Amino acid sequence: MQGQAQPASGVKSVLLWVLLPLLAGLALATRVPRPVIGLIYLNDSIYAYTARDMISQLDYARQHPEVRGVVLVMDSPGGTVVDTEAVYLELARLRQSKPVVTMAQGMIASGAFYLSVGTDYVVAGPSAIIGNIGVISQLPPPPEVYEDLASTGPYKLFGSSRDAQLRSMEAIKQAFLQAVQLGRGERLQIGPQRLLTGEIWLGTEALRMGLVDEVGSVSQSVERAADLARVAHYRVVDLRQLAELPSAVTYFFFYETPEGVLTPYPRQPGLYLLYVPPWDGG
Amino acid sequence: MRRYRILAAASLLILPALLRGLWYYRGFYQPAEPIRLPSFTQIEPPQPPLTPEAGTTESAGQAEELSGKVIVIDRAHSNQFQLPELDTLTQALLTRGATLQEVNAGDEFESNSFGSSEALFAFSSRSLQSRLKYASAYVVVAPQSTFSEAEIQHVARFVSRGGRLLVVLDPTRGGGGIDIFGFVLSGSAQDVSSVNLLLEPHDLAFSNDYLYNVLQNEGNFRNVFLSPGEPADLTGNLSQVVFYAARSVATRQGSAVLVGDDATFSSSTDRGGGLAAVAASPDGRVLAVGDLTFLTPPYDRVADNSQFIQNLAAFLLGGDREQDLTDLPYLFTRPVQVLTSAAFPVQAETLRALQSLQASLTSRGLPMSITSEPSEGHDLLVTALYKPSDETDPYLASLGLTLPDDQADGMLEVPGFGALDPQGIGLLAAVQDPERTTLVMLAEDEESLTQLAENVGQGFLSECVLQGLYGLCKLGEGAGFQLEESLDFNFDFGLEEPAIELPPTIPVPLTATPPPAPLP
Repeated sequence: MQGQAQPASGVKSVLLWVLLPLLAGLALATRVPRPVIGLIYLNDSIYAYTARDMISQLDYARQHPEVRGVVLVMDSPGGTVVDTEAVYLELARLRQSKPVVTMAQGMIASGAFYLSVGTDYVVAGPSAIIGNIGVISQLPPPPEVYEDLASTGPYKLFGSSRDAQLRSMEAIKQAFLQAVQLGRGERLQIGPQRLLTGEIWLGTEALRMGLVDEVGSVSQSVERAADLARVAHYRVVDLRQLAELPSAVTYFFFYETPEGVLTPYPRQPGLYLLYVPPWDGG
Repeated sequence: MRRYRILAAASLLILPALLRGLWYYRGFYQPAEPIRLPSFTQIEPPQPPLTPEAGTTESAGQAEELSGKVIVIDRAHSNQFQLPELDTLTQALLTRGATLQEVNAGDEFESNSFGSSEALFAFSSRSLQSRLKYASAYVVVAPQSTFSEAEIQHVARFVSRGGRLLVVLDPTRGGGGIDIFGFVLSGSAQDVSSVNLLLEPHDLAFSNDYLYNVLQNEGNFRNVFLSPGEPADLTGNLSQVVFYAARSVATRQGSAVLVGDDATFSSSTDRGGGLAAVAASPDGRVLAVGDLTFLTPPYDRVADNSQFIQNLAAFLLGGDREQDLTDLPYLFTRPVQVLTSAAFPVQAETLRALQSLQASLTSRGLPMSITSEPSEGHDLLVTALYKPSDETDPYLASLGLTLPDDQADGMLEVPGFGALDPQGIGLLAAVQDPERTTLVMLAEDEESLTQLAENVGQGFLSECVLQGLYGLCKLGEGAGFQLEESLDFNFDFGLEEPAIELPPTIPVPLTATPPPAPLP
C-alpha cells in the first residue's frame, strides 16, 4: 500500500510544486505586456481638432505602460500658435517617462518643426521640408470707430493694436527659438542668425545643420524609438486605434475661395506657426 | 527539502514572466537629460525705446526766423500714401513757417487765384514745372507711376539751382503683392523703378529690397536700428533711429546718412554691412529715405525718430534756392515795387499788362505797388525804354548794358549777347543781391514794353532767349501768344512750353492734424 501511495504522493507533489507554479507563472507572464511603439500621425495642419486628437493619443501613451515609445509621423506645415504649444507641452510631459521620436515624412515646417524639437530624436526623409521657424499673422486694422458698430474699448473689436500684435509675435518667436535651442542642444550647428530667417531646408541640409538627427524612414524612426525605450519584439500600433479615436475629422482650416479653390493660408486671422507656400491664386 | 520545493515553485512562478520580460524589455528608459522648456513666463514682448519726454527734441524752427518757403508735395504719380501720414513732418515744416502745396495729376484743372476753375492747356509735368519755379523743396513719397523725361529734367534743374528734393519710399507701399489671408497685400513695389530715374542724376538709387535684422531689431526683423553717418546737419542730435521696413539706398559719391549695422541685411542679397537706409546726394541737396512708417505715430516717437523728422524739416527748408528768369513770374520773394522813370511814366496799358504779374504775386501773398523811391524789404521791377533816365540808369549801369542812344550805330549791347538791333526786342535782366531781387524790363517803345510786361506776368517766355540773368524776347506783331508765327526766335531751350499759365492757387497749408487742444 505504501508503494502505491508514494507515486500518488509524487504526482501530487509535482502538481503542487512544479506544474501549478509553472501554470501560475505562465498566467502571470501574460500580465507582462508586449511593448508597443505607438504611432501618431499628423498629416494636416495643427489646429483645434488635430491638436485635440494628438493630445488624446499622447495622453493614452502616457497612461498605458505597454506603450513604451511614440513616433510622431508628421507631414504638416504647422498651424496655430496655441494648438502647437498645447501639443508641445504634452510632448514634454510624455517624454518624462517615454521617448518620443519624430519622423518628418514630407514636411515638418514651422509649428510642426516646433513639435519636432520637443521630441528626443528626429528622423527626416532626404527631401523632407524642414524649418520655417517663425510666426505669421495678419495685423489688425488701424484703430477706427464706426457709426453703426459700437464697442467698449479701442481694441475691443480687433484685440490689439497693430504694433502690440507685432510685438506679441516677437515674443512667440523668441519662445520658438528657445524651444529649438533647448530641444536640439549641442546638436544644433547653426545660430539664431540663420534659424530666424524662416528658411526651409531639405532633410539632408537639416541634418548637417543639426536640426534633425538622421535621414531615414518610418521603420528606422520606430527602431530608434524602441532603442530609446529599450524594448524588443514590440508591436507597432497606430495610437489612434488604441485610443479608440474616430477617424480624423476634416475641418476647413484653410481658406477656400468662392470658386472652391483651397488656398494654403488659414481661413481665419490669428497668430500662426505656419508655412504658407507660394500660391499663384489657384 | 520543503524549502527547496518552495524555492523551485517560486522560481517556476516567476520564470515565465521573467523570461517574457527579458524577451521584451532590455532596460528602463532614462530621459537623456532633464527636459527643458522655453521660459514662457519670462518672455515678454519687446518694447520700443521711446523718445524721452518732449523738450529734448531740438526744433531748429524755434530759433530760426520763419522761413516762408514753399514745399511742394507730389501727388501726381499714384503716390501710395495719405497726407495725414506726413503730419509729423508737415507740422515740423509749418512750425518753421513753411507753406505746403501739393501737385496733383489733375492739376491741369487747377484753380486760379480768384477761385474760379478753369481748364488750362497744361499737363501735370507743366504744373510741376510751374510750382518748382517758386518752391524751395519738392517732396516725393511712394510714387507708383513713372516720372517723365521732362519732369526729371525739371527736377534736376530745380535741384541744380539750390532746390531740395526729398524722396521717400517704403517697401510696404507697392503696387504688386501677394494674395494671403483673403487680401492682396502690397509687397514688392514699382516705386523703385519709378524714382530711380529721378534720382539717377543725383547719384542715388534705391534698391528693390528691404532691410532686416533677425538678431537686434525693434520688435520685428524688418524694424531696423540705424546709426547716424553724414552729413552733420542731417544727423545732428541723433544716436539711433528706427525704420519700420526700409529700402536700402546706394550712392557712390554721396553720403550715407543713416546706416544699419553688420547684422542688418538686404533682402535681395541676404548680406549686410554698411547698408544705408537714408542717403544724400554729393551736393547734399537730394535726400533719399527708405521708409515712410517712421514718420507716422506711434513710430515717430521711437528712439531719435522725432529728432530725425526735425532734421528732415530743416533739410527741406535749408536750401538756398537761386532764382533766375526762368522762374518768372515767380522770381520775386518779397513785396514788389514797380519803379517808374519820370521821363517815361508807367502807362495805363503797361499797368494793365502788369495785372497778370500782380495776380501771381498776390496769390503768393506778395503785394505789388508803384513807386519812384524803392524802399527796403521790397523786390523791384524796373520798367523803362531804351533811353537814358536818372531813375533807371543806376540799375542799368550795374547790368553792364549799353543803350542804343549811347551807341553811334544805335545798337543795344548786352553782356553775353553782344550788339543787337533793339527793334522788336525786349530785354529782361535780373539782379539779385541779399537785399532784393530786381527785374529790369526794357523795350523800344511803350507798346513793346506793354507786350513784354504781359508776357512776364503770365510767365510766357517761349519767345525769349534766356541766358543767365538776361533774356531777350521777341516782341511786336507775330510774337506773344500767336506762337505758330514765331520764326526768328524758334529756339528750343526746353525752358517753356507754349501754354498759358495762370498763377497757382493761393497757398493753403495742407491738412495736418493740429496738436490736441487741452480740454476745458
